[in-house]
Order: sequence, then structure tokens, then C-alpha cells
Amino acid sequence: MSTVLNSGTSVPTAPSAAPSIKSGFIIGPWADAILIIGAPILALLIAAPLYVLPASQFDVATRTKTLDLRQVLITVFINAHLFLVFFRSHANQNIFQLYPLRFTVVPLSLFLLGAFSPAALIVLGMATVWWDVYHSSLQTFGFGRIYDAKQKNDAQAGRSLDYWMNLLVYTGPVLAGAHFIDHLAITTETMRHIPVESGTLMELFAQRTPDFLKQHQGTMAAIILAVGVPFVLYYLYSYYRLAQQGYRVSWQKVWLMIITSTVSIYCWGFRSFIDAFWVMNFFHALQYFAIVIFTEKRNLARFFRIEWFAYGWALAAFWVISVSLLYGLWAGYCAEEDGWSMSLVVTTSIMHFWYDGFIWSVNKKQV
Amino acid sequence: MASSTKQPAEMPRPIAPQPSSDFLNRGLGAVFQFSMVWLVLATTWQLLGPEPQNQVEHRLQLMMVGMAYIFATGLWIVGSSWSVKTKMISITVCLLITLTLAADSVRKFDGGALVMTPARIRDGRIVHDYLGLSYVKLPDWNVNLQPRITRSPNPPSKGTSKLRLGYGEAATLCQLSQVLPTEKRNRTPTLIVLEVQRDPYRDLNHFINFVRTSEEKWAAEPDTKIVRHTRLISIAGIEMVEFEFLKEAKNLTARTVWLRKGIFALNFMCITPDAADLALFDEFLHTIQLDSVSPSATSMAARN
Repeated sequence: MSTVLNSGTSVPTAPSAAPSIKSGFIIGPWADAILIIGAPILALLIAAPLYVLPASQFDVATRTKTLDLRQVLITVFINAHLFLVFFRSHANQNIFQLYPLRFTVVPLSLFLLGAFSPAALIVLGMATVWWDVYHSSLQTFGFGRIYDAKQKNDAQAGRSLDYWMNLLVYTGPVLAGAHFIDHLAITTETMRHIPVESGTLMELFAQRTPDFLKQHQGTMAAIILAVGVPFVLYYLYSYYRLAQQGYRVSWQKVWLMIITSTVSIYCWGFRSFIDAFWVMNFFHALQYFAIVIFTEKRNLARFFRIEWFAYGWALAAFWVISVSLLYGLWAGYCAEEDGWSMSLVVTTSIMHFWYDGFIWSVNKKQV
Repeated sequence: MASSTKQPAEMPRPIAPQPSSDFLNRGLGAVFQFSMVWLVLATTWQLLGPEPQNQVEHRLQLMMVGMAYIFATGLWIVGSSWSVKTKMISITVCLLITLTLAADSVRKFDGGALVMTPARIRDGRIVHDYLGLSYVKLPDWNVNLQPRITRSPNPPSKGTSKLRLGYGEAATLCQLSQVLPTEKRNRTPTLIVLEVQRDPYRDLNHFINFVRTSEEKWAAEPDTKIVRHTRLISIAGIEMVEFEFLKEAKNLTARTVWLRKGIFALNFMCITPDAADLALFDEFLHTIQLDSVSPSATSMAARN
């Protein structure tokens, strides 16, 4: 873990003209190749046989109904990774001390608001569907920036380009693809608890938006293509110019972008919605598990009171994975549909999306 | 700041770690690992194990999970660097949360058994004591008050009579069947059935959608025509949700009316070959009382 600083303070390092190959990775060559850069391919390889076999082979009987095991696995994994953020935000004291109010008052307030106000819970639930898409695209952006930082590039060089590029390759196929309607259906599913005759302008707006977007999806796809193709060319040209000015290209970032974009376009464009959803969410969660466990391993060992043991970090990682998966199982299938449980689940999701925007800052050398 | 200006001239010596303190911390850390093993196993049992079938099983599971949480959180807090006061407050809060959740679990679990207690007839009314629900016993109608599970994702094994309503299950608590005069014996008698299931819905809007889902299931049945879609109504001051459908092949009309009571969803369903009996069902619904006396109930009871 010499390449990753898991404290909030930066350790001065001597500038090097040509960084070693190892310094270009976040965890290490093998771990990065499998768990971060190659994670989308790994997800595809795992999903392919799952979705070739008939659905009936994956039926599992639970207390209340029969479920599809593939769906259970991804739902638990998604919820587990959402919970995992707290091991970075709250268990890392250097991060926690930077934003104590954001980590205490905000989640508590949001939780109570959702628990006592069904209307607020509906709005928060709707927000999670689309914030999730935005957040997922920014995870790849974040990894790209970390890889750039590993090459000692200026933290601002190409930042905006990467931001828009990642939004385009992740959100673009969702908005332009055939499964956009399915995404809207999830939003509509969340909104179906709003009374048929909406009382407020906000509720009315929320009800009408999916229909409006459905009607104009073709136009939206055309706009995304018309903007997207020139932007990709501009992106490549801009990085060519940056490289001429001394920017060091991180091949890890290049491969991450190529693999993620290809898998994103392939899944959202050519696979079924459920298949695409499985693959995209699986690799997203896998990458997150990898970065949290490996960057936080010392803090986790301390958090679980086992720093004195040589392999304390491995045991701590086991606890983190176990606790997160149990939360995932509870949130996905065991949480009752009362205000308290639902609010806890929604608050955890919102906090994950929000915290991830500032607890991995390359500018502040948090990674 | 004042104290910093009055430091003694000699340099402070680094404090050597106390071996006994280090031993204690490691010991506490080791015990904490065992509490984590217990916590993970107990939670896995609770989430993935079969639903407890009696109070002993339920209380045992609850105790295992509750104590695991208290030990794990307690040990973690004790081993933290917080002040004694903060530790005391935190442990108290954890204890209170655990006890509250346990009490809620007991209430819900025991409710599943209590709801299966047979109703009794008192002063011309059928009374479900646990539910706090009563309605008129229609005169000259047969009454069956023996509760029975009618729908379950996990059917009980042969020879066992299940007396607890679990999650995802439905039970009939009362069945009223019309006694037909001799000249109408060839006709199907009108039935009024009270079915109960656990209500996992946090508010009325969710509940309405739950009923709407039930309507969709009926609509998907062959020879079924929905004649009145799901709507919210108020009968005897109680908010109810209803829909009505027609089984065309058998020429049966069914009106199904839902209401919520505590952790349960109650469904009164009237199935009749004679649409005129729906008016009687409507009057019957007006006799429903939830822990209070309604004027319409008294008047109908008086008429009967």
C-alpha cells in the first residue's frame, strides 16, 4: 500500500521524472487489473453464464416468496457497497474530522425527515434512482483522476474533459439506449405511491416527467449522438495537446476508460435491461469494495481493534465484508416497509452518493 | 493557553507504553473479535434462517441477536478513546435501541399468533378481541369462526395445524354464509369472508397500491371483469379501499373491501350470485367498529 495514502495528510514525496510502473497503480498491478480496470470484463464473464441458463434454475424459496437468486445476489451486493461508504467516512478519523457535521447532523436529519414524512421519503427515493446513474459515472471519473495523480500530473489537467467524458460514456448509453424506458419505469415505480390526483405542483411535475421523456426519447438519443461523437474526438485531441505540454498519459486510466465505455455501450445498447443492470452494478460495487478495503485496511484494523495482530487487516476486511453483506441482505429483502426502515435504507443510499463526491479528493490528497 | 506558559524548564519525557494497558487492550480486542463472530452468526441466523414457529424459538433468536449487538457495540465503545461520559451515554443509547427493536419484534411476532384466536359472539356481534374489531352477526346466516391459513408461500407439513400468521400468509378469520330458503336451494349462497394478512405498508397510499395489485391479479384471471376499480371510501368513519369484479362464467359478483388495523390488512369479501345482496353487504360494512361504537352499527343491530 505504499502508493496510497489513507490519511488526510499528504506525505511529501520526491518528484520523479519517470514514475515507476508500480506507482501508477492504486492497489497493485494484479489487484488493479482484476478489481478495478478489468472489473467490467469480470462482471460480464460472471453474468454471461448466469443469463444463458433458464431463469427457473435460479429460483430460491424464501419466507414469503420465491426469488431469482441472480437478482438476490446483485441486490445484496449493491446495498452492501452503499453501506461500505461509512467505513471510509466514519471509520477513518482523518476524513471524519474534516466534515463532522456532514457525517452526523445531515444523515440523522435526513433519516428523521424520511421516517416522519412519507412525501419526503418518496422524493428522496426518486432522487436515488438518477443520482445512482450520475454517481456511477463519476466513480470511473474518480479512478481516472487517481491514476492521473499517480503519474504526478497536475490535479486540474484534463479534469473537466474527464468529467464530461465519463458522464457521456456512462449516462449516454442509458439515456439513448432502449432501456431508458426501464429506468423510467423504476422512477415511476417509486412514484406510484403518490396519490393518483396529485396535491402539489412538485408531485404533479414528478408524475408528468416520465411521460414527457418517453415521448421525446428518440430526439434525446439523436442529441446525445450528435454531441457525443464530436466530443470524443475533441477529448482525444485535447489529451494529445496536453501530452505535448508534458502531461504523462496513464495507461491504467486509458484502459479503464476503454473497457468501461465498451462494456457500458455494449450492455445498455445490446443486452437486456436486467442483464445490463447486473453487469454495470456488479463491477461498480466490486471496484468500490476493492478501493475501500485496500486503501482503508490500516484504519479498518484499528477500527476493529486488531491493529496489533499481523494479519489484523485481513480479519478486519472479513468483518467489513460480512457486516456490509448482512446490511445488504437486510436492506434488500428483510427491511419492513415502515417509515423507519425505508428511511434508513434511502438515507444510506443518499449518503453514499453524496459522500463519495468529497471523501476521495485527489486535490486534497486524500487518496 | 495559560497553562502552556507555565511549563517547567525540563523537557517532558516520552511516556513509555504501559505493558498492562497494552495487554488489556489486546485482550479487549480479542474478546471483541469473538463478539463479532457471535454478531455475524446471530444476524445471519435471523435474516436467513427459517421464521420461528413458536414463542420459545422467537425469544431465543431475539436474545441471541440482541445480546450479540449489545456485546459487540458495548465492547467497541469501551475500547474507544472516548470520555467515560460519552461511553456511558453511547452504551445507554445502544441498549435502548436494542430493547425498542426487540419489543417491536415481540409485538409483531405475538400478533401473528393472537390474530388467530377465534372470535366470539357477544350481543349479536362478532368480536375479534385482539384486533379490536367487531361487526354484526347477520341473522339466519351460518357462521364459521375457526381461523385457518388459506394462503402460504411455505405450506405446513401434513398433520400440523398452524396457529400463527406468518409473513406473506393470509388467513380466514370468519366466514358468513347465507342460509337459503328451500325454494332457492339450487342457487349458490352469498358468502361474506373476512381474510387477514400482515400489512407491511407504511401509509395509506402504499396500501391503496397494494389493493390495486390485488385488483390486477383478479383482472388477470380468466372470465373475470372488473366492474369497479380500486378506490378509497369511507364507511362508518373508517377509511377503506374497495374494488368489485364479476366472475362471468359463474355469474358471481364479488365486492372486496380492505381496511388496516395495526399491523394487519383486513379484507371483507362478499361473493354473491344475486347483485341485490350487495346492498346487504353495504349495510353489514356500516356495522364495523374499530375500538369504538358507531351509530349505524347500533341501528342495524336493533333492526336485526
